[in-house]
Parts: sequence; C-alpha cells; structure tokens
Amino acid sequence: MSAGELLQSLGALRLEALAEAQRAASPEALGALRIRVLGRKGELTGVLRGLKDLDPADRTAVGQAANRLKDDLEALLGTRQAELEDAAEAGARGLDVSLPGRRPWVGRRHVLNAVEDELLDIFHGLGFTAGDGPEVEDDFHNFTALNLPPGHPAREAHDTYYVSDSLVLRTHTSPCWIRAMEQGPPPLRMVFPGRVYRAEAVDASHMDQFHQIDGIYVEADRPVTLADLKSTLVEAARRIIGSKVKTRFRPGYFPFTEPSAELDVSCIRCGGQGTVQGGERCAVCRGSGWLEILGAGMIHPAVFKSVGYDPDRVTGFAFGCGLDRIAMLRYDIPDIRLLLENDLRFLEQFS
Amino acid sequence: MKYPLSWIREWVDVVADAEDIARRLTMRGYPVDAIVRTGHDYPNVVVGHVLEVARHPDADKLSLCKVDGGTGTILSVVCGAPNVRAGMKVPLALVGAELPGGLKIKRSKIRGETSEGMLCSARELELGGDHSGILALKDDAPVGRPVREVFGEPDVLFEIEVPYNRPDLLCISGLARELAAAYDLPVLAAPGARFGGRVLTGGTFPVTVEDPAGCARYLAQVVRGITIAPSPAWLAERLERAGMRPINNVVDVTNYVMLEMGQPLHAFDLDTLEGPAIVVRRARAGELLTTLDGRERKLTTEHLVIADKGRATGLAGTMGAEFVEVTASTTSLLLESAWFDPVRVQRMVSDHGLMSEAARRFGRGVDPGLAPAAMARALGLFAELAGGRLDGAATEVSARASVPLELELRPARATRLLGAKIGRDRMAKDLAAAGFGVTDPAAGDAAGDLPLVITVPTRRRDVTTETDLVEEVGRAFGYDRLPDVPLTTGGSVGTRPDDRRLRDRAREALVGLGFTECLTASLDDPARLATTWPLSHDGEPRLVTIKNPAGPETSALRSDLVSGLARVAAHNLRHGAPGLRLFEIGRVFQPRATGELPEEPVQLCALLAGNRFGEAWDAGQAAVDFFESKGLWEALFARLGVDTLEWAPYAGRGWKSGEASDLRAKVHVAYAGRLGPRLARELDLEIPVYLLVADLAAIGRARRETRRFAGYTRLPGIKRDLAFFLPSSVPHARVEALLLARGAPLLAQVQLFDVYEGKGVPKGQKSLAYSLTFQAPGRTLAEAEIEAVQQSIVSALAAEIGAVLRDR
Repeated sequence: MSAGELLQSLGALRLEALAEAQRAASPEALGALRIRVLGRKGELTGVLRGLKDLDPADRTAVGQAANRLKDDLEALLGTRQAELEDAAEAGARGLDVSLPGRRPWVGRRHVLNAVEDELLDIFHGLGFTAGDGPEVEDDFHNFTALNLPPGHPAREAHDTYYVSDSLVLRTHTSPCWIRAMEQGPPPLRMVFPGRVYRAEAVDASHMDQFHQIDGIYVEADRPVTLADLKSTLVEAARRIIGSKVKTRFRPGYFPFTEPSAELDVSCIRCGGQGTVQGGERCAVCRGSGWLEILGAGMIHPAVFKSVGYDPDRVTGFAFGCGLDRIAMLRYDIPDIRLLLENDLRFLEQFS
Repeated sequence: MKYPLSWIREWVDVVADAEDIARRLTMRGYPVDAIVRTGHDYPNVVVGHVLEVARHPDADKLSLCKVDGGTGTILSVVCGAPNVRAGMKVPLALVGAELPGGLKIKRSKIRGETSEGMLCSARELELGGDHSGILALKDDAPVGRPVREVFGEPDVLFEIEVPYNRPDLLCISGLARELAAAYDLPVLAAPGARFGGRVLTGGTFPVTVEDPAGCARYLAQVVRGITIAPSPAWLAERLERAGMRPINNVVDVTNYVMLEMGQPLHAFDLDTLEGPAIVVRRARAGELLTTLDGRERKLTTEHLVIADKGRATGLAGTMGAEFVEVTASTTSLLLESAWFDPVRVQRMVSDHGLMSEAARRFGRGVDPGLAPAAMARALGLFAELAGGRLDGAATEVSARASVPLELELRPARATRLLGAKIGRDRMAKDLAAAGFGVTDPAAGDAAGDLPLVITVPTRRRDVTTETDLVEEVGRAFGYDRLPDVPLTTGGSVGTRPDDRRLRDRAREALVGLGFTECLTASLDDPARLATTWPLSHDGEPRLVTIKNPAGPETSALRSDLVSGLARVAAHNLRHGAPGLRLFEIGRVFQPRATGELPEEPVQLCALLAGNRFGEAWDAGQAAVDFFESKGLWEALFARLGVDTLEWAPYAGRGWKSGEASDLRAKVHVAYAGRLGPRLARELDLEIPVYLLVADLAAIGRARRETRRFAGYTRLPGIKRDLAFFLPSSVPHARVEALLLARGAPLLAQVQLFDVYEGKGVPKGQKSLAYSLTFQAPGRTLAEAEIEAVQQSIVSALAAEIGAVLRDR
C-alpha cells in the first residue's frame, strides 16, 4: 500500500475507534475496543504492517499519525473508563450513614478530681507543691499540734470518728501542715488535697466523708503578712471562679491561725445581687450575695512551737477550702451525695 | 444566737439601719446569717379581758369564755387553751381580723357553741413558737386597744453564729459592746443599775466548794416571799424572740439575765434543798441523777455536781434535777450565780450528750467577774416581777480572784504580721474602744518602740497572747483595708510528687481506654469487705474499724476498692447501663500494731462488664470476655511503661476458677480476671464482671522509664508461619518462651495467630499457630540460616513439650 492509502486507513480507523469509544456503555466494551484496536494483534498493528515497504520519509509521517491515533484513543479510553466507573458508583446503593458508629467507651475523670486537678494547677502556678498525709491520724497531728489541746471547746465541733483512743479519721487536711513542717525547716509552700471525715448526719449538704484542700506558706526571717495572704487568696479566687468575681476578706476564727480570716466571693448564681430573676431570694447564697469559700489565717505561734519552729522568727499563712463545695457551686449540683454515688448519668455530664 | 435590735439598743444607742449593722458585724468577723423582721400591725386584734370561763358542755378541752374586747358588747369566745382563766388580759382577734399566717376570723359555731372571735397564742401572732396556750398580756394592758400598742414597735432580729472563741458575745450586752466599738459609741450603763446594781456578800447560807478547780466562784442568795406567775408579755416576748420558751417569772428572769449579760443563773426551790445547804463536789462513781429532761444519768468522778446536804441536785452549769426546780407553789428561792470550769462542763456535755443554754456558755467560758452583777440584775427583776425579799446577804465562795491579764503589744510586731502600717496611737485607741485597758509608756512619742501595755478584760478569755491582740488591731483596722501586695513565688516551683504523678498517669491512661473514674466512700460494711477481701489479700480479713460509727454498714475503712466499685456497677446496671468501664484509684487501709497508724496503700481497681462498645448495633454488641479485659489491662500497663509482666494462673478465692491471673514483675503487681459467680451474686452483679486490682506502688516499682532510644533495623524481616499440635495443658506462654529462647538471636518476634481444638486435632491436644519474624541487624538473612533455626526450634518443642509440627 502507498503512504496515502495507509494514511487513509489510519484516518478511517481513527474515526471508527473514537466513535466506538464514545458509544461504549461498559468498561468491558472499552476493554474489548482497546484489544481490538491497540492489541498486539489488533487493527492498528495490522495497518502498520505495510509500514516496512515505505520510504523512510513516508514512514515517519505514517508513524506519527499512528502514534497520534494511539495516544488519543488511550486518552479517550481513560476518560470514558472514569466516566463509566463514576456512573456505576453513583447508581450503587450506599450505606445509611446515619446509623450509629461503633463508638468506643468514652472515659471521664470524676468531677471532684477534675476540680482538684484544676486547683492544684492554679496553686502550682503560685509556687505551691502538692503534698499529703494519712487519713487515719493521731490525736497530736489532728488536734493538739494545731492548737487544739485536749479539752479545747472547738474539738467538740469536729464530730470526730475514732479508730482508737489515740487515732482518729482526720477531720481536716490541716494535720498535713504539721507533717510537712516536721519534715524540714522553712521555706515551705505547699498544698494538701485529700479526703476528710466528720461524724455528721448525712443529708443533701452534709456527708460524713468529704474533701478539702489546705495550703501553707511559711518563711523564716522574712515576714509573711496577712496582706500577703489576702492577695494570694484573692488571686486564687479569681483563677478558680473568674476574673470578674468580687471578694470580701474578713476576720474569722480558727484555733490554728491568729489572726484568722475568711474569704467570701460574690455569689456565682446571682452575681452578688442576693436575688434571682423575679426578685426571689437567691437559694445559693440565701440572699446575702456572698459565699464563704475559704478559711485562712496567719499560722498560730502555738502551731509553730509544736513542730519546733521559733515563732519569733517564723511567720506563715495557711488556708483551706472544701472541694465538694466548690464543685457543687460551680456545677450547680444540688446534693452532695451525688458526688460519691457515681451514677453514670451524673458522671457523664462532666467532660 | 438571735439578737433583737430593740434589746441591743438598751445597751448602745446605735441608730444605723439593720443592713448597715449586719455589714459592720460581718466585717468584724461575726457574720450575720439572717436579718429577721418581727411583729405585725395585727388589724382587728385587740386587748381582750377574760371575764368568765366555763366548761364547754360538749367538749372537755374547750372553754366558753366571756370576753370584753372594748366593742361595747361582751363577746362569747370558744377557747381551747389550757391556761385561760378569768381576769386574764389576752390578744383577742375580732371577727374580720386576719392573722399573720393568713387565718381569717369569722363568726363560727364550735361544737354547737357560737364563737365571736379567737384568743391567740404567741405562735398565731408570729411572736414566737409557743403554742401551748394563749399569750398572757400584762395585767394593765388597756382593754380594747390594738395589741400592737402592747407589743411595741416591730423588731429586727440578727441571727449570728458566734465563733467558738467568743463566748462573751453569747449575750446582748456582748454584741452591744462590739457595736459600740464599731460605731465609736459609748456602752450605756447596764439597766441593772436601775435595780440597785450590787450584791451584798457575807451571808450565812452554808455553801461548800470541794472542787475549787471546777468551781472557782459560787454566789448564793436566799429570796423569800416569791409569787410564781407567768412572765409579763414584754419579757416573754423577748425570750421567745431570742429563741427561749417562757416558763414562769422566776425561771424566765434567770434566762433573761443569761441572754442579756451572758451569765447563766440557776434558781432552786429552797424548801426542796436538804440542809438547807449547797455542796459543790465531784460526783461519786456510779452516783445516779435524774435530770430535768427526765433521763437518769450515771455519773463518774469526772463530773461536777451541785449537791445539797445529802444528794446531787444537778450537773453543775449543765442541767438540774426536777425535784429542786421552781414550781407554781415555790415561795422561797436560792439563786445561784457561779463560775464553772469549761473543760469540766464540756466533759459532762459530751459524756451525757446533753446541751443546754447554760452549758453552751459555761463550756466555752463565762467571764469570771460577772457573777455578782448578774445576780444583782436578777434580784432586781425578781423584786419587780415576783415580789419577794432578800433573806440576808449572799454567800460567796471564791477560790481565787479573777485578775485581769496584762499583755505587751509591740506595734512593730503587729505591722509585721498584718502587712499594713497602723500607727501605735491608732492601735491604742482601737483597743481601748474594744474595752481593753491601754497604757502607752511612750505616749506622745510616735516613733517610740516600747510595747503598749494592754489589760485584757476578764470576759475576753480568747485573748491570751500578743498575737491575739494583733488580730484585735487588724479587726478594728478592717481586713478590707489591708493593702494589695504583688504576688511572688519567691523562686518556688510548684510540682506534684512522684506518687501523685503516677496516679495522674494511670488515671489518664484508663480514661483514654474508655474507663470512667469513680470516687466511692471509704467507710464500708465490714461484712461486705470480708467478702471481697480474698480477691486481693491473703489470710483472714484485717480491717481498720471505727469505734463510733454512724451504723454497722459504715463501721470500717475499706480494705479494697472492689466493694465500692461493685456497688457502683450494680447501681448502674440496675439503671440500665448496657456495659461498664469503671475505675477508682484511692487509698485502702490495713491495720498495723495497736496505736500505730494503719498502712494506707493506694490501690487501683478497674471493672469491665457488658457490651464491648459504648454504642453499637451490630457486632459491637458482643459482651466483653477475659481476653478483652486482658487486652485493656495490657494496654494500661504499656501506657505506664510496665512491660515485663508475667500472667501466672491464679486460683485465689473470689475469682472465677481458671479465669484469673496473678500479674507479676518479679513481685506481685496486680490480680486480674473474672469475678467468681458466687461472689458476683452476693454483690448483686448478674453479668460477667472482669476486674483488675493493682497496687499503685508496685506498678511504680515495676515500670521502666525510657532512658535511651534503642534503635531498630530498617531491613525487612522474613516471616515464617508454623503450626503445632501439642498437649492442651501446655500454656501459650511456655511455647512462646521456648520459641524465643531457641530462636535467638535471629528470631525477632513471635505472634500467635490461631488457637484451635476440635475436629482434626488429636484428642487432648490443641493446635497453636505462630507467625515468626526472623531478622538480623544490618544484613539480609540467608534461607539456609532460617531453615537451621527453624529445625532447632521444632526439635526443641518436640523434645520439651511434645509439640508436633503440622503439615505446611
């Protein structure tokens, strides 16, 4: 065949193959077309068999035309293949994606421990290191060393559980100060979170086991003042409750501190108004607009003496607050018993 | 205590409104819990005069009264009060009146008799809680006038919880002194002065104090010719507003003086005293006394009694016996005004579980200087309200005179503790205003550094050191005025100790594995703890028990966390939870020798039950099994860096036989497995429950900190799968250990991928299939090398455990 005839055959094959590719309705048909035209024994090969008889110049021209046909057909076959696959995919019945996932169990920290962690972080930021002490305490650490000698009237208020004549379930986390001070000399800047016990009748606002965090800051030969205490507690309250909180620092009474103080914060429910919408008395602060959250004071000289510190050289402050109360206030938990009941419908609300 | 403002104003002329007073008191350290307004207008309630009282024909407990209400007609009123009598002046609610509680008075028939009004009790008028009878008004109350004129102005009550160290504030005059200091006002002379004010001593009534430490002062005065009667309305009302029930004029006067001045008094019916004489002595061991509340008390020598010639008549300063109490027929009194030791009174309060208004005050400490003035005040009120005349002077027995304490206050010390600059003159002035005696040896010299000399009033038993005075100075200065100072950490870095960090990491890991943290009670039932004891302990249960528990079910400290967590599991399953992943990390308690603090190791307990997935509708609904739990525990230990645990079979009590393991890293670290069915039933757990019970300290010892990166080879390993028949009794761990030992050093990894027993496997045998990965650092292994190792493995397994290689 002449070069002209070959080019003509190629042109016809090109038209027919491209049209066939456009028409093909399935990937299988595309595959068959590819084999028929481009396969080793396919029609293109057949046409090119005449190539060897041509002049070199003609051979180039025909070869180029053949290559174009091959490239264009391959490209069209690829495009059509994708189109057909997409069409097939689009028609397939999909999953009901609204069905629930196979969800693993989601774990959570207990709300009280979450609050404890948060308070620890706040106090770490203020330079306080965490410590602890035993929950079964001896009389000396729980009472006597804290300026509550036998017969002190305030002991009565502690409603103590006794393990023996000399051992009690600690009624507060304050004995931890004594143990920390016994360990070594000032300076000390520590916080002590933990569980405490009081032999109280259990109701919505009282448990016979609950949680406190105490803190101390003690220095020798460098005065720690009531003003330092106030500034520290106000800062802590801001970080715990929020920067807009109003605070009230006023005298209080604790046997183990002198002077003693209490920190009140503006009620987190009514914002310190004392009333909620409709003019009703706020149930959280009972209308006062204030909540007592922290007891504090300058550590009593008798406490320093009980651990062998020189009260003329050593000064320090201490504070303590109820973790359960903070959690209840913050999350509007109406009943303290919920905290140790561990109903999942309760626990799962805190993420 | 409740403080009526009208009463306070008899002691200090404070004109501020109630809110301002409450604010000042709060800022001085006496938080006002509530401000209560009392008194009403009482429209159509008038003073009635009871003219006649007759029995209701149809009802024993009702009376028919003729009452003059000043309306021009005599009204018929049916009354149910036991104390109604002719001649009484009473509050009469006329038809049309509306009482404070909302009750509207109408003309009515009561059991057939017409009632044209109602006689009112104190409670019905909201004047107090007394509902035992109608309120008796003063005999000179003007008939027909509105009762509000008799009651005087509506009042304001401050409810204050007085700090323990301030018993001096447990009375009207004490609070008035604080207000005087707060408002810079003088304290008015006690109204007692109006009644003569002083008590003459040197009387002859025989008083013996055998225990001067327990009773440092005893005053006794005989009064004769007393007429017992109800108290006048003004007195009854004050008592009720302050929270006490009126009884009769004599008892009410003693209570009135106690509320006003803080000194408890006691009036004996003189004719009931044997002797008559008073002996203050320790009780004899086993002595019996029936107190006013009707309870018989067995006494010890720790108790202080007031006795007459022969018998105890009361617990000193706490509660008397009924047989010496003043009754309607009493005509002669012995009035006691004394000082009792707080420790002794507290001892009686706690031994006998009884609290009285007197004991509350004596137990915290009464001003030892107060006894004569209070007695004088009471005698004056007796004269006014009960008639009677003093029989001679009072007898006084005093162990020691109460000498006021003298302290030094270094102004620099006060400044150093408070962190505020307060001038020494200011300190002196404030202390004087609070009733302290102040001498300034450097007066006029502002820079003087001599200490101030302070005389402490005897009522201020709380002030015993210089630091107490510093607080007093700070209180007067105002804590709200202390300066804000910049916070520094002084170079201190806040951290958590290692054990707490480990606890935090374990908690984080478990939460990440889908476990919810619980906090359970530490006080538990010893019987229940005994059932869970064997799960994590050897031997018989040894518990730390409480001597005074609230009940048997909370009488021991927990010895494990299983009991509490099982309770939580049962509770939540009962409420429909489809599955549970719970944990707690907390202290458990084990006794040591008597008198020693118990051990308080931290236990970690995790519990798994029910569905594998939190939410699922297909295959995910499958229940967990042993290997699910084991996988989770292994993941936990991997997170904690414990990678050398051996899982030895464990046959301890409480665990399901054959499904429990002792986890050891040389020493015991934890137990894990399925709770035994019988114990599970006892714990109300109906579905399989898997537990991990670990000792946190042991985990800490077993964990390995990553010290250094060990590298790994990038060349691909060569895998060979081998399956063996071997006796069913041989555990996988033994096979794995043999494979690793014989395959070393080229065998890098062994992975079990199939366990099969049954068809095609000889009886008594099982098939285990392992995928082995061979690897050598830095080079590619030759086929022949692997073949050689494999041969050695196969023959070793055959020789040591009778394993037969299955056909490939």
